[in-house]
Amino acid sequence: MQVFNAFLRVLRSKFGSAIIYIVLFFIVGIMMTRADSGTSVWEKTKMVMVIEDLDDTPESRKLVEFISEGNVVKDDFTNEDDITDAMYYTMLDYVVTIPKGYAEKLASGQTEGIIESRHMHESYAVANMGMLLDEYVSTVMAYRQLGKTPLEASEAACKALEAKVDVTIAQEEGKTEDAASMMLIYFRYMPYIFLCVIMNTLCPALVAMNKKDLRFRTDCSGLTPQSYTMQQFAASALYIVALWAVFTVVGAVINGVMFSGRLWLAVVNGLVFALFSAVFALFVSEFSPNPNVITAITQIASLGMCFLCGVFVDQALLGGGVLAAARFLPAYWYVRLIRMLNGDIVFTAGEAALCLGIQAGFVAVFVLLTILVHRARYVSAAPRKTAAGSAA
Amino acid sequence: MFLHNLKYEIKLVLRAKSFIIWLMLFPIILGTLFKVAFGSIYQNETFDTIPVAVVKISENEVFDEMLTALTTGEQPALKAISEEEAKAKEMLFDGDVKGILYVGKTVELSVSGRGMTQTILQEIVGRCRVYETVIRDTMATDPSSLEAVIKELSTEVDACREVPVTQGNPDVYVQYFYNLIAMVAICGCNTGLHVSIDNQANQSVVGARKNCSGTPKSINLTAGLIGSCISQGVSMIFCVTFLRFVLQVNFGGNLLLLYLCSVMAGCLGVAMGFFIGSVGRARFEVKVAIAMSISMVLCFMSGLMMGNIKGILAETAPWANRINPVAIISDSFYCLNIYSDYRRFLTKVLGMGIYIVIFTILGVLFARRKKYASI
Amino acid sequence: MKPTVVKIDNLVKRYGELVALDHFSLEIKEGEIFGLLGPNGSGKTTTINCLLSLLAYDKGEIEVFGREMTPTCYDIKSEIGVIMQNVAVLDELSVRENIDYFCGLYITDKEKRKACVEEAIRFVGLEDFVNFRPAKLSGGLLRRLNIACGIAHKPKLIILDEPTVAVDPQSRNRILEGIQELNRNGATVIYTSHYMEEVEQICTRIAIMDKGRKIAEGTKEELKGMIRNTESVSIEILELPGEIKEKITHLPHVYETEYDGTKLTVRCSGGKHNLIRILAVLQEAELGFGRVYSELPTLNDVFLEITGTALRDSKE
Repeated sequence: MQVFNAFLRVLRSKFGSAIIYIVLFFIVGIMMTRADSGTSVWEKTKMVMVIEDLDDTPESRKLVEFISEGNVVKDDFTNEDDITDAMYYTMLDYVVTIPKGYAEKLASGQTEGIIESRHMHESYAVANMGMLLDEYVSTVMAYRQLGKTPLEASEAACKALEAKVDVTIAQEEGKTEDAASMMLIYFRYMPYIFLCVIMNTLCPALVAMNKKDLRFRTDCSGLTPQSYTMQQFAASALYIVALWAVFTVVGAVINGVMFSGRLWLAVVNGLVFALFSAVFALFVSEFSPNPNVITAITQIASLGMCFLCGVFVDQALLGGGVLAAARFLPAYWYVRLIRMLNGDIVFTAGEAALCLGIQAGFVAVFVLLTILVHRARYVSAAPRKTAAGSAA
Repeated sequence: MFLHNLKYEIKLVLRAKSFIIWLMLFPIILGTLFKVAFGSIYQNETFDTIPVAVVKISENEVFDEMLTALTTGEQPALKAISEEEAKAKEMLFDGDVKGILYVGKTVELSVSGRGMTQTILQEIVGRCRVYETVIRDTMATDPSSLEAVIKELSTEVDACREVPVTQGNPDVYVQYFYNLIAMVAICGCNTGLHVSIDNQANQSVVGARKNCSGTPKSINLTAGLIGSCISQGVSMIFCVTFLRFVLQVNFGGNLLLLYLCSVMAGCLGVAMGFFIGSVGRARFEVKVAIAMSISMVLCFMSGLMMGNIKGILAETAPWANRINPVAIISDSFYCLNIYSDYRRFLTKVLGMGIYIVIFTILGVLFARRKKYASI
Repeated sequence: MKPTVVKIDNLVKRYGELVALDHFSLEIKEGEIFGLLGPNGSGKTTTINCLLSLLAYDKGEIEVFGREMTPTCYDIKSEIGVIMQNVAVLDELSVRENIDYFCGLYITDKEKRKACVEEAIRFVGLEDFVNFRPAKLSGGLLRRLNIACGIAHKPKLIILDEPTVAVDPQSRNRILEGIQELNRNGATVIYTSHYMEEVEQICTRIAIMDKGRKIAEGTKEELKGMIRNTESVSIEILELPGEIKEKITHLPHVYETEYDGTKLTVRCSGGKHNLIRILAVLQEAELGFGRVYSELPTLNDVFLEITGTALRDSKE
């Protein structure tokens, strides 16, 4: 137990810097949760838009009314640059301008370009809005064929287009609990938080323990390398479980959620990923990197994995090739389970178990890799007797 | 004296491991990962034929006709499979179909998730509904004009004219690359940190030796800062070149100004590091940790991890974006890309300049001390 | 009368409650190899750092080359070479580049500097390692590089702060010989150490420090002259009756005897033929004895007698 105890003591000595990281990333986690409105990107959501009615006729007002329906219309922009900025930062999706002469053109049957629109980013919602406007005009024109005035036709078109489709989200029998989505968003960002916090705090402690001189001294003792590594694993695991518990409990308190039902799966999911982060940290530490290198590896691993696996960007947005590659990373399976729990994709018990199992598999693989590297770096470095009896 | 110092400062930075890792490897690896992740984002928007299960509850001729139109043709929108409800649900859960259409007097849709395919389905069914309504209205009021109405409905209308917002590249994902460049720039604080550490007798032995030498501290510091800025500038040029020409990221705007702006951003990173290194007596490792933590938080607030965080801050705490040096850097790239006039870009560049001056002056004020209370 | 190179007057330096230098004064003349001897923590390095204007001090005056030393006296600094206790070199630069870099902080002329660098490399014997990075050098070689960085610009005053710590005897001798050679070439040397043998070997004048104070100063002969002990005679003897020991104690010039069961130590103060007289007493009593040796006093004896503790034991 000597290594175990000593390791915990070293960890405690690094507690100061660890607490900076923990608090820092906790805040980041909370900010991320708040920043994410809790709806998936492709869900039919309200668009934030600005409508400029330059025509100001009953017909154009009808169109404004139609567009406003079901969307958020903003009128607090004072200049064009603010509008551009808001559009760039996705705070504003769409700007519709009804040019002067809209009503006249509608009456004369002229449809080409009678409405103007601006948007910064291509998205399905934006494309849909464009089609909807075309469809509106087309429907007005259809009603004009019935001898209606442009205004009457506009009213009729509004009515026809109002017809909504009832969509139900099908769930398998007995699995219809409502997951606390806020907590799930919080959980979605956990891979980034865990990787950053765990690598930044565990690695320096591990590197301190694996220092060359210290290692030589330990190697001279009666301790077997296996025992040394296992004790290190155990101490790291203890630290990780504590860290995981803190992030889970405090997260629950802040988001005001009591764990129940499937949310427990998210909690377990977090633990498995935290363990992966720890094992990865152990693996990296075997190469005794300096603090600067640790920070760099942490950033590359955490940012890279999180972007590829859909932690920051919804998995639904990522291309098939990316997702195919991401399957070889544990965060992909972590996020997949969270998406299942959130109802983004179908939840099945088998699939959930698969997600957890694969992550556990990654843990096992990295444990093995760590032991292998450890042997290669430390054990085989010592002179060994060959079959002939001479020192190798 | 100055040139001698400068030569060695540049040599030192270029040979430091952290320089290679942070300023060369980092943008290559993360840039490539970003490119891989974002490069294919719009690929998902190609409209493939969506398989749906159709469960018939009662006859609906109008919808049947439309369904036929949707499922035939060169690239049909839907592939319909008629099934019993139980079997349809099973297929839905297995992922064989993306939704179930319950066709009765009206059409209802059941899907298994909230993805894009589901939204498209919803829109398609919605269109059918409108069609249906107009035809029913026509039948009720003036059946004789049905043909004219249908003709009107099926005429391609191009009523909505799209006006381009910018001459630049409107792709929102470019801002992740802006932030990556900003991060590389702010990582220059590692380099700047060394300048102050290596010149202070109470921070390093080399600092003590330099303080005993015949070269004035002002020359040592100036050479250190300029040398670091040059090395940082080289890495910024490398980073932008790699992103622009190897990864083919379209930054829009004037490329020469982009290069100049990124070099300036690198100087901002150096100045920030120099400032952090000069203040206080913490150990070198602690100062690195402080510098890196501050950088990461600033990067986060600028949207490196989540693109929309800047927008949220713009609404809730607009001052945060205005004072965050990383946000200023990435905003300057943005302004260069989006706006055709340089007014906003120059404001951001001015902001960077102010930061460089403030950090350098404060750093010099703290580092100029000649004698130390303890070493 | 040779001119004064360094003059320290009434220097006081406090670290909070701790008084690191307590009214410390010193004067070093041109051409000397001046040794600052004292146990760890006696204030040697603090003195050096104050002298170099790195440390702020509470009281006192410091003059170098006849002028008050301030942090901005770059012309004075140009004439000083410093070899720090800790190796102060840049890991990213090779041996030659390191020497060139630090030399360049003093000498701007490229040709002149090149010659100086080559000479320094030869001087410390690093010719075979010029392209090595410091990380690849052994402890002794690293120390030599440290010295080369300090002396390449041919300073008039060289300050060496414990340059031989953790160095093998071969490298140590080389370093000590080098210091003497630098001195022969005209440099004044200040040498701090807690190895009295080294100080004794090379220094022309020595100040002994303890607890921030100067407790003695002079040439080694002068210092040894300050104490009673002039000769210690040691005799290996397995049996020594009390009356014989008493008899020896009462011999002329003997002021102390000590017997530990195997070895008799007799300390004498002045006089000649002390050894012969002691051996005569033993022969007369027909006592057999083994190895006999006589030692002259060392600086350790000086330190011991002045402070009451041995140099090696104190504060180590």
